[in-house]
Amino acid sequence: MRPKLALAFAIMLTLLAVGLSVWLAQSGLQ
Amino acid sequence: MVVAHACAVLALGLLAVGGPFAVIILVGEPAPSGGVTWDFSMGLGFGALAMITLQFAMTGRLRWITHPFGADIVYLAHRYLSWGALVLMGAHFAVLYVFHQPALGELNPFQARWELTAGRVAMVCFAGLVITSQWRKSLRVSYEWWRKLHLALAITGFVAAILHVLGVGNLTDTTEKRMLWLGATLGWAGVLVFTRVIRPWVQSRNPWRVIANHDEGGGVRRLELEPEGRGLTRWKPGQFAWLKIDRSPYGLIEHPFTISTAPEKGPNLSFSIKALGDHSFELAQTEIGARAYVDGPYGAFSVDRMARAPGFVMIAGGVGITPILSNLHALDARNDARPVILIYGNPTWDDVAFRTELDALRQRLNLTLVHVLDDPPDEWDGERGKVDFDILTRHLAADTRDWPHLLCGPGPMISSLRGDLHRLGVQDRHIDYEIFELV
Repeated sequence: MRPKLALAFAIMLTLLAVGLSVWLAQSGLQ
Repeated sequence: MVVAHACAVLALGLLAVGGPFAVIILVGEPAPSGGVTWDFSMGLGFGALAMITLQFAMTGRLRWITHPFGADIVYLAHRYLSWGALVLMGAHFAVLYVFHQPALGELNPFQARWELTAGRVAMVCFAGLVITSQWRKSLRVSYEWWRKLHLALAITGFVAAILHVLGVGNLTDTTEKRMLWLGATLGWAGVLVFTRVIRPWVQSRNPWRVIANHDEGGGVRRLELEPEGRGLTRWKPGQFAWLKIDRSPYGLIEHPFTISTAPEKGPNLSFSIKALGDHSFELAQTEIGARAYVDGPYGAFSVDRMARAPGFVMIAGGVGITPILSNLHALDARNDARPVILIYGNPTWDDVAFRTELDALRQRLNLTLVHVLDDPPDEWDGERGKVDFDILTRHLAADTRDWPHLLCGPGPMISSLRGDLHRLGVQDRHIDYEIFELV
């Protein structure tokens, strides 16, 4: 269980950064 | 309580990556846009840097962060996050390369803009960090050299990355954004100063002295340490500490060892050391009177985390017995009568460490001890071969399936045992194991 949590956390943070980059590109900078 | 703490740490990790984006997008005047692909690339680079900054907090052995998960899992997350950060960094560069190649200019550092060279240096450093860690053994880099290289590349890479961001200046145009970078840099420097200066200084004020070095059989030596300053408080059975003997507390050479002593039997600490690598060989030879520094306790491989378990299944391979033994000692110190089944695999009978100690524990605990030998002596009538599905089936009754299963041993043994236990019907949440040798 615990090692999967580490992997899930890393994937989640990476996807979060990609998602927020998309948001930044779409709407953040005018 | 531990779950709430774990959620708080995870939420802080999300905030560390998400928060800076929110500041950039929502606070102050919007930055001038360079087009969708350009802004996307800037975001990726930005995300990579946020994740890298987080790495320093994760590897600083800050107890607040490691406590809910165990230090091994935090290091594992560090490894995965590094891959994530490297992917983001590569994507940041790749998007620019595909859509905005002219902006990248010259590759030659003598002709290129310095801030772009800084970015390339950072990327090479971080790629080097990931490669040397993932494949340290194949690359034949010794653990001691790897630690020095790791710190040097990490610091160089981070400084180069910050210079890159400030030099390029795309996201540093307002006070809020400059505060953000300043905060990230100060946080990073703070963790570094804490782990490299303040903590070793505290250790130097609280040295330990080696007062005994016993032979425990199976090539294992047990060192006993006495505190000369403040001792260790509140360790749990099965936890480990980083040990430096006859070395400066500021040095990088240190190794994690299980604390063998039950918490109830402090303040002296015992560490069981098997001479495997260069450094553990040296430590096994330690003379009485040597000065030592202890950084701990860390780890979550403990019966204390499973207070309500009806019994325990423990499976050890070779020197992996040490955290298990420490858990057994704790059960013994508390007169805990819950049943324990211990399956202990070794190559030969001579390799079996702590034989007398285990026999003594068997008298006092409700302990079933199963030795498994790869190459047993002729008169051996116990289990033979590796600990496998058949052996597990023979010794683990059906009613033990939802007991905690504590595994400790070499990596390949753990992964095959997990498969065998799953086949047997044990759920993953009942399997706990300590990962050592991450690099």
